[in-house]
Amino acid sequence: MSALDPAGPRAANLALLWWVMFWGATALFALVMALFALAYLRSDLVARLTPGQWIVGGGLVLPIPILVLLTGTALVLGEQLLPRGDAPVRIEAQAQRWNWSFAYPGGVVVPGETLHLPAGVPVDIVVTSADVIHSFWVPRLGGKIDAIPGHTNVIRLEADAPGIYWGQCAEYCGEGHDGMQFRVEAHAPADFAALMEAGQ
Amino acid sequence: MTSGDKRALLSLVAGFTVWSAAFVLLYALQALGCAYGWSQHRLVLCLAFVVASLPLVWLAFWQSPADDEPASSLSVIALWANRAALGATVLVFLGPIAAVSPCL
Repeated sequence: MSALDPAGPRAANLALLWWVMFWGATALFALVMALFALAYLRSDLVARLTPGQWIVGGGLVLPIPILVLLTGTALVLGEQLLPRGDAPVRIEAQAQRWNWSFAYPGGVVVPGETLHLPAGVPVDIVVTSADVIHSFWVPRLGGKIDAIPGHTNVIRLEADAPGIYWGQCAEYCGEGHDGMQFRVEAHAPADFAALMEAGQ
Repeated sequence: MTSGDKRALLSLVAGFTVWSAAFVLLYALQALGCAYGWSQHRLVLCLAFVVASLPLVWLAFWQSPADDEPASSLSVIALWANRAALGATVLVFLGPIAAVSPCL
């Protein structure tokens, strides 16, 4: 259940952003430590620049392009996560302390507390809550979205391949919060269709 | 404190005060437009951005009236703070308003 082990295009976007930030932060940290070492070991090199040049360079010239690039990356990748139009499949998810229940198109009921979805196609999950605020999160398939009582939020997930994935409530919701996990099963499209047939 | 200092002090806080007000205004317009489904939502946001930028452009390129006094360090700092506010306005607001989906 790791966001760094993506199993779908949307989760891959988020993982990519994470790695961009990780390596960017690592490079900046290394640069600062190198300058720090330079100040001790070769202070004559550091002294060649005036304090004003250090302030403008380190305070404006360095961070502004980095922040613009980072923000731009986040906006571009985040934009690709938005549920535009209608996904082929739309499933309702309701959170209630401390479990999740799922409703399928056409009033289909599938026994058990597993979220079933077809692999290889985008799926819209319409998320709401019956009591307090929860958050719907399947780290390997996509982002997270709040489940808010009296309000519906839509998150689009996609699994590359059939398999079992796990989800977790990601907003503290009381004493059962840590155990509020749910199983997600991605099926081959034909299998998913059969499952929906059987549930009618 | 001379009158020139008072003006410079006001000028020092003016730019980022306008920036803050613009931030709140744009956020409010973004939320209202989504809630009520405005058809010209992005146009409204862009217009609000232009309106908010006008006083900032004026502050950033407005020189104190020439009264044969050399510029005080406070007035120089105020001028550059206002130029920073104008830069921050363009950098922070323009991208999200012009290019990012305002609503889900």
